Amino acid sequence: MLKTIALECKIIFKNGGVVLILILAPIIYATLYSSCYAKQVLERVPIAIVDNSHSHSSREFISYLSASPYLNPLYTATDITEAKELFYNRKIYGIVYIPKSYETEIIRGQQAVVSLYCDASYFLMYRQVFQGVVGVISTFNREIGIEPVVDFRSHNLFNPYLGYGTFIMPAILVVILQQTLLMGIGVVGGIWSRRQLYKGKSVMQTIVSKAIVYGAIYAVIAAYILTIHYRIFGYPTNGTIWTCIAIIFPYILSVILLAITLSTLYKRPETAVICTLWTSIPILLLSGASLPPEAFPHWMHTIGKIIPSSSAVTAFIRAQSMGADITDVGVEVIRLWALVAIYGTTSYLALKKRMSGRTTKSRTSNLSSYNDRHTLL
Amino acid sequence: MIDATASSKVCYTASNIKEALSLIRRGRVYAAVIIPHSFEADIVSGVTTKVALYNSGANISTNGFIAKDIQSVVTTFGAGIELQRGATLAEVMPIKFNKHILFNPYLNYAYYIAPCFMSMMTMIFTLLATVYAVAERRCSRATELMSRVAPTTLIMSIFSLITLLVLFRILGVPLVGSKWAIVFSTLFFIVVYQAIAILFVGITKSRHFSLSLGGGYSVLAFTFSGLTFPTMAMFPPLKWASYLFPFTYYMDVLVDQTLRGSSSINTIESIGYMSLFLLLPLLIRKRLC
Repeated sequence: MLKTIALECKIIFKNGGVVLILILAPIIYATLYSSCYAKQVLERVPIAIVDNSHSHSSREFISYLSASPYLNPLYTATDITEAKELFYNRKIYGIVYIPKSYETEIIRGQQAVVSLYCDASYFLMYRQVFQGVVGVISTFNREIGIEPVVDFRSHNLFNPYLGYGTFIMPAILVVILQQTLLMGIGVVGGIWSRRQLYKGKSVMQTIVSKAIVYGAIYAVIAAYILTIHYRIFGYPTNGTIWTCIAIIFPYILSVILLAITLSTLYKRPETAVICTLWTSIPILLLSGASLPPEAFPHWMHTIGKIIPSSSAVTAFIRAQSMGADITDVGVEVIRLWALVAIYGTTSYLALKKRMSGRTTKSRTSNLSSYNDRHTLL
Repeated sequence: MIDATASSKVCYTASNIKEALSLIRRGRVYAAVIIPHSFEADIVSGVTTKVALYNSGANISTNGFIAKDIQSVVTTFGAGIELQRGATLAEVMPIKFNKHILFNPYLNYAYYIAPCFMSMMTMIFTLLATVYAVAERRCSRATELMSRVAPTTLIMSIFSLITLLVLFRILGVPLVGSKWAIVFSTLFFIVVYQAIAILFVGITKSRHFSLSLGGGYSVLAFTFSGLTFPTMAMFPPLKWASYLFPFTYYMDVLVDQTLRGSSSINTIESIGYMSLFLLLPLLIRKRLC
């Protein structure tokens, strides 16, 4: 078995492409994505104001808008057409229209109407503009209106400033681990296939050796992400280390076993890259981390459960961001162990089939001539 | 009243905050509304009562929907009682606002994510297929390079036209702008990514390495396009990096033409930026042929 472990390590570390995918990619991706979202909150979205009232009250209202952390009244337009032009040129993402009658209505004790034109083609922009204006108007109403019946307080748990990175990165990090493992093990599987290493090896020994090698590498990477990376970007660490391990351990193991199963299908290393790469975004969506599972068809969500990341993402977010303990994520952990059993079986069967040696003569000769040309890989 | 809102539904009744938090942690609910014991007594006796919303921020999209729903329930509820007590609407709510959604008035996430998603697929497959075709061996002449690129161009063009048909005809994604602008920019988008694929082949040693590099680059495009988290909010170097992805410009075209119906000048500008990427293979032409 030590021989198989040594062989696997040799293939990984002697090959720049594999090191890039398996070891550097998770760290590069994690850092790049986190840096993109490092500012967390979209602040001061530029908007235009069309003030037809030109009054003391309207100016006061505008000063409130300027004070909102979400809004930046960058432009003053004379009419809606002018403001719309700014919209099309992506200079602004919202228009606040104050009608001519604004001040007179307030003085007369009538209800004044302000119009908000917003853009829902970018959801975060829409949300910030909408929230900003609604916030200003309700503050205003509280000040000049009568005391409300209900004093409403809204508290955001676990992510008080609703940071985008804090929301999406835990899910992305979990998915990155899976995708790079699938791709990396797939590429190595392609190399095995090309060099015909499957011949004369024991199935169990191969699975165990591969699991040890990749498990060890990914234990280090996962530890790096959970400690140093989390610290650098300030993501919530409300979970205990043991809960995290209880999730990550079966997760990595099930991914490795799934990857071994798939890797037997690749005849060339490149195929693994092509077959895995495009799946990243669908898999992230299926995990239900960005769009809640309630928002897409039920069958999709159910089918998604065969992918380890779907259970791991939700369990990990609940543990690490919300501080859930092991009993709260018990269902997901059990599901991950079930996946370990399933993919353990499939990898055994797939390897057994692969090792029974059904490589055709023509393919072998093709591959060896291909090998001559690409000795590097 | 909560059940009558667009996105929220009451599923559990908890006896205290601790129990409610536990439901959130177990993933059963996304938020909890806390109504105090004295709620009815306060209202009857005319005292301001308190309602609190504990909303999980771990998912900011559910958080947004719930916050909006509960806020409007509370406002409507409070206003109803005040009006019953004889207050005028102007007293309860001196300023009212009308919301007009200019683009994507359906507030449909799918209308906006589906085209983007399909374009991601087109981009990834174009890039990988072109790398695969070109990296096989060195070309003797530029025409040979062209002949190796052409099948991918053809197949991906057909593929992308079919996806456009599916998007607009079957899924019913709105198309307020020009369909020809979309068709042209889509075909152009494919050629631009082929040029980038050629660049990757030129700067790497093995096919496998250029595939990994190209793959990494293409996956990043989604984040840098600013569709989910606007580039405006990114740190300047990362914001500049977003200009290095033709996908960003193509997404601008798609949003402009499908949802906004803005003038073709904006689209021409985006296509102009995209065309600069066509020059990239010239930088490494010595290594290619």
